[in-house]
Amino acid sequence: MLKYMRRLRCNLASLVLAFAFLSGTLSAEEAEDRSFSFNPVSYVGARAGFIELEDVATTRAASTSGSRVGSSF
Amino acid sequence: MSGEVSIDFQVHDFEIEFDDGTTVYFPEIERETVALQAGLDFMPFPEQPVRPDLIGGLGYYYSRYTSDAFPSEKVGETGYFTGLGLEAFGGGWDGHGSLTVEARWLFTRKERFAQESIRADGYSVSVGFRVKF
Repeated sequence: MLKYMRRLRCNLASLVLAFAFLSGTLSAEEAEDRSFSFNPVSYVGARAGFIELEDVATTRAASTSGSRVGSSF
Repeated sequence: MSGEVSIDFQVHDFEIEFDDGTTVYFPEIERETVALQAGLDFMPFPEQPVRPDLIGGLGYYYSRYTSDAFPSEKVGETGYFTGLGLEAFGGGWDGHGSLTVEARWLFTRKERFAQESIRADGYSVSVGFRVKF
């Protein structure tokens, strides 16, 4: 339980720093001084193809399509 | 390194393979799966023209089986996945559009004594694109 509380506290601190940085109250240099950097590159994408499953049921005609979102860190 | 979430729609007409090797095709049975996946994508050479990447994470697969002959069934399965891919064009994290080719292997948790839970283990191959911003 303590471990999760500690993680939660770290995450909350990061969120506060991120919000402060994004809202302009904290410069990039200040953020760097606090060992914090927030420069993610986000992406969206889509894909389509085929899928084949194992086990007792095998597919005869199958397709997959989807979308993805991500962010680097 | 990047974190990613995705949603996929998988559609299958399927046939059932018995132990003696015979298969029976049921054209009226269709499996529709919504795959929600979240994972980490590791791209070791993000500045190269062609960039390999590795991805892995957890997934939830919600399937609906529909048939004219039987009542429809809905099954939710948890699992994990791993995959590898190639990305081309739009190099670097500052690039914009890029093309992707990806193979993913899916592994679902096998429910003991749950006859209706058909494993969704398998693989998929897909082509797509990414837009970075």
